[in-house]
Amino acid sequence: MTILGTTFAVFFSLLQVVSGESGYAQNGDLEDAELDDYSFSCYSQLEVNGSQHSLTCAFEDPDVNTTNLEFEICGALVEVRCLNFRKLQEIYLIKTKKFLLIGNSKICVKAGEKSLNCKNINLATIVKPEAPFDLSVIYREGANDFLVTFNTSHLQKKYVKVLMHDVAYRHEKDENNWMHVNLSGTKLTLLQRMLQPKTTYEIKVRSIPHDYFKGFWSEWSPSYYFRTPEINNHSGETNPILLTISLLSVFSVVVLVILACVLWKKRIKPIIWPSLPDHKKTLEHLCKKPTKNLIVSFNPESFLDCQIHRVDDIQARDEVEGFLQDTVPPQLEESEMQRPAGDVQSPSWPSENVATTPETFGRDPPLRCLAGNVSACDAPILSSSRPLECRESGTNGPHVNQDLLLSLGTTNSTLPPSFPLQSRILTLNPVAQGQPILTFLGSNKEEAYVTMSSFYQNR
Amino acid sequence: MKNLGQSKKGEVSFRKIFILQLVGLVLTYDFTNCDFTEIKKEYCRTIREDLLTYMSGTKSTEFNTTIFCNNRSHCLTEIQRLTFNPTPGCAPLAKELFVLRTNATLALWCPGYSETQINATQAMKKRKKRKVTTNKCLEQVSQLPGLWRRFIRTLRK
Repeated sequence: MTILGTTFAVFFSLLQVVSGESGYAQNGDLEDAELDDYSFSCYSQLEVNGSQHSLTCAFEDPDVNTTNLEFEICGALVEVRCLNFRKLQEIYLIKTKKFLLIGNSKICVKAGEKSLNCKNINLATIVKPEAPFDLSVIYREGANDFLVTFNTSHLQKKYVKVLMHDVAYRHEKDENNWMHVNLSGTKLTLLQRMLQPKTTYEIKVRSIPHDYFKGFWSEWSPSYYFRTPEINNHSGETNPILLTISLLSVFSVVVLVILACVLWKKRIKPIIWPSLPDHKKTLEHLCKKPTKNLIVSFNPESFLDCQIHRVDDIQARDEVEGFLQDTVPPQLEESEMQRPAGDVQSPSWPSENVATTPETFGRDPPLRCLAGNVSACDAPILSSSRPLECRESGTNGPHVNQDLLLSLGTTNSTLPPSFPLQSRILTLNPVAQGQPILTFLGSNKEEAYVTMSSFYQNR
Repeated sequence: MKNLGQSKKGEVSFRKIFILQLVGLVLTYDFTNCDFTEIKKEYCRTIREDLLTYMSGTKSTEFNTTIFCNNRSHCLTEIQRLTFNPTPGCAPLAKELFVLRTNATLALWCPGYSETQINATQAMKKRKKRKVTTNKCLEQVSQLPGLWRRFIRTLRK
């Protein structure tokens, strides 16, 4: 009896152990092997209807027999402990304002009083936004691009306001080649050059929570179809304007080049590259020839055929006369010339304009010009410290500058052929005195060059 | 005899007040060990919008800011005091959404907070309910956004 009892005890214990390993636990709940059949997923949608939130759950296995199966949520609720889902065909839905959205809620699949499968979920981390809507594409001809705009209901919500949008578009011929663009706003610009011409494109958009809330992508918005224009038409419309502008530009450049070539020597080059004054040429240029026979040259051989007239009358100022008597050598004949500075060509000169120098006549004889006496030689007027004075020609004969000698042509008086080498300018002035008046510049060659250059500058 | 009875009643009321204050001191929570980052997330996620909803219709300059805090723990202490402790003229705001979420946030991210609150709630049950004065409550709640902003600024340091 004892052995029999022991045998039955061992048998029943083994039976209990075997029955436990077969998947049926003592508490009646299903073990892990069967839990996978009741796996489910949920997503929440906040403020889907005013201030009401929704929670939707469904089994991952579509073949699950949902008869007598319920869903229940407990925890993280306002004023209540648990809420039951409402069954709609194959999904389970609950709409309520009582989601606390802080902390985890426990969602269980229940068969009667038994919990088949439970999950601890924070409803703020399984948010699925509502799908965007009003998707449209507008072609902007001026900007050569396409403006994509859409709307979303989350712009007016309190909690889930910050979203990330995914715009997808594809070529009608490439069915699986979707191009994606992520943006946080509700406007997107697609450049025309990024798209193929004369092609139909399909475009759609979806959203996902981006800020403190987390979750899943929303459903795609309804697709929008648009066609890109031809490139030729578009470029042809803008050509006339560009063509006109380019033609005008070319014409202007050509005109400028022609003008530059024509005016180069006369106008442009003197401004850009002014020529340095050549004193000899300057003096020759400045001295005008009142008569055909007037010779302007520094070459004494040019005056071999000239008749040099003797000057008998001298017009001199009183204040200068004494100076001239002290400084003028006896062989020199002086004449006075009075001319204003800088105005050598003018026939009328101020009468009181007298230039004197402290130098002696031997070295730098002063030159004085008489009022109203027009000199045949337009010698440059000094603006420097050494003014010019016309010298009177004495009875002994004039001193003639070997470089410069003016001749009036037909005169009654003659000049001696020999002249000392001095840097002077002789001028004949038949207007005021009836006899030519010879004027001299300073004998210093350097002074003559200086005065000529400065006169050129003044001119 | 009447004077003797009145004096005894006064002693009893003073004793109750003293005990209640003592309980309050003992049950004051130290927020030093809280997860401030998660508390900030919860505030930015829901509590901030709830406070704005509660204060909607009032101007930002209508009430002066009279309560300040120095550090994170001090800010949470002041937030807790203004959110949960009733003040004369304003009954507890327990049913408001921002109150519920603040309580849930502190209970979730501050170890030992929920037990303290339960005991304090039981100790305070004996206090009489006062009539809710909307303006008084608005004035009290108007201090909370500033305290929360100050709390967030301390986290940026």
